[in-house]
Amino acid sequence: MPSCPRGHDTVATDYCDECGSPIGVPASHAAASPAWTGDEPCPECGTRSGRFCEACGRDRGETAGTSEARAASAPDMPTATGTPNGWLIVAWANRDYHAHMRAKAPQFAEVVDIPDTAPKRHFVLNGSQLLIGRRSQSRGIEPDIDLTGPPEDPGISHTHALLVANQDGGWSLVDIQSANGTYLNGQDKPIEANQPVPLTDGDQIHLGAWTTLTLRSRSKKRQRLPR
Amino acid sequence: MTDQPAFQAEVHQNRYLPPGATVVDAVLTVTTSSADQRTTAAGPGAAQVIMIDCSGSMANPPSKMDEAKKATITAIDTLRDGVAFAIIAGRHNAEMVYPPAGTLVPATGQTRAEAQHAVSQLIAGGGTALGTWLQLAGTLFAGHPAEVKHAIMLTDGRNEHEAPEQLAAVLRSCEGGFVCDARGVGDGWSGTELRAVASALLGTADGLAFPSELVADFKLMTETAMGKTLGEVTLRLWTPAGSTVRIVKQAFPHLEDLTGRGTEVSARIGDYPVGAWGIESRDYHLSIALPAGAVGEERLAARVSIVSRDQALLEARVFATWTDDHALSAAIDPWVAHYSGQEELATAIQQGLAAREAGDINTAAAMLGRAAQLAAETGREDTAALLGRLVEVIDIRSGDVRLRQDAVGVDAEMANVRSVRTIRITG
Repeated sequence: MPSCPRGHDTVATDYCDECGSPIGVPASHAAASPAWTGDEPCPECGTRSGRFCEACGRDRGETAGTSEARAASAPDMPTATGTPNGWLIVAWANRDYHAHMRAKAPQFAEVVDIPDTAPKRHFVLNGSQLLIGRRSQSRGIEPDIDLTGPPEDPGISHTHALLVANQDGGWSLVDIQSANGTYLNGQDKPIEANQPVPLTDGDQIHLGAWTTLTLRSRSKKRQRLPR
Repeated sequence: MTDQPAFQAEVHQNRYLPPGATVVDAVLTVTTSSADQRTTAAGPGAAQVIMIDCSGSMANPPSKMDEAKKATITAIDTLRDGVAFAIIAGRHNAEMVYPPAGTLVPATGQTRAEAQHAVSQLIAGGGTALGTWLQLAGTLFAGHPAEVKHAIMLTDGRNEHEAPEQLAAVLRSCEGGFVCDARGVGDGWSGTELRAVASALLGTADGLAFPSELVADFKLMTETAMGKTLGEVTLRLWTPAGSTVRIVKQAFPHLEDLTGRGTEVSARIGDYPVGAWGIESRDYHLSIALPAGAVGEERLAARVSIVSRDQALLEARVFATWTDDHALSAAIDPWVAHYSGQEELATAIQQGLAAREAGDINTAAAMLGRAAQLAAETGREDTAALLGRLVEVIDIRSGDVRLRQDAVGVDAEMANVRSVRTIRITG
């Protein structure tokens, strides 16, 4: 059974069944939560109980961070995707890319400011094909990797690109004739539309006026976590 | 098997919370659509009971009884073939009009004609006991296998011939058993009573100023009921450990507070009844209090699904993300703001009318003035017109009004029964 950054078991693979924490997100905030020694109420839910909190199931003998480390030390343990080697997309506002686009395509990058604060968004890759885009209710578009704001990057097409699962367990990127193109790893030219481009861990996909998607292998990411 | 309507959900919320904040508000829009709903014979099992008020006052003026008969006859015509139905005459007791035995019969050419003949013979005379009528309807529906069970209750008077506790007890026992639309005709009905019936039985309540409106209204109610394809639908709500469900409220097309009506599925999950569904669109206002997270932390605040016969027909998610960017967290979602305003308007009308009935002129003027002000601000011309019969506006911007001395009783009942109506956000 997958477990969330705070160590709860969960059947749902997107957000924890118990505490609602996103699954597959670095447990930075969870790791920063204070160690729980036992006598005080459970820091998750306030319940007093024995070793395991009776209400939320947290093990008082370890912090959420150590449970994450435990998961990392057992590489065969299924992750949220149900496979040992899941992949993750991190969407973030990229100042360098925005500056580059502003120089290159001033007609739109100039009028679109990069937001001061844009929380990183995380998407677990599963299934065989994922649509990257922005939601449109009127057109019935529900992207899997939904980059609808706020903050909104209007340079992203509603149907912008696809991530397609490869036979070998990796992913390829396909631009599906987006209005403003899809760029890979800071290259000057956009990738060709409708042509799959295989991706590797750490690849950066640039789209819109300031959005960058970083592809991460979850198993490697885990190993970098502080023990 | 019938085509189930396709459910779609849209969540409107500002997911960003300032540090330490614990409350997340969201509006969930649930819309159903389907290519072919009007396939007749294959339609889901439906049952309909019409309770027609035959109290003595229905004969005064005679047009009330005449139009009520015509409306019932039209509604019988509107029933699909095979729909199980029955007609009840409501007085101080409840009597079967058709069929004579206390049961439901399938609609055929012959049963329709027999029922319509029986209705045409009805004579007004007797009292009003709404709970007794509903109890008979509940008995007829009980154990019937129909997926969609719908009743129409027409009255022209107040529930005078039984204790209020009797009606309340019957409503509790009928909850979940069938959906009931309640209608008042003439000028002697109580908006509070009609709303209590519609609220408990997840139907609509309205008053008809003129008996001549009955035929069209009965036809519309029956057509709407025939368009329902799913019977007992529930809104299933998952919330995280340590959270509290503050509000679960239908916000459109009318306000219906479901907060206290949840049943526990598991420690984290509750089911809230939303009645029968056809091709329609409704909004729900959800408010969840959850433990504050660290800045930068994201939590799932609610997972909402629409469930019919233990099958989830859609899922939507409500999020909370804590941020120290006030520009993000300060924004109020326009849908949430809109329905908060509509809820305040309804409360102001209901409290104003209650004060007016209790003779508390000052409170009544203050609350109805606030209602008139809100109605004007939010473009609610329908509500403004109803309030205009109760109060004379001195200054709409400040909500300064004077109670009209010439207002008649039914004006207040009409404002009451329609106080829960809402409109969607415009633009």
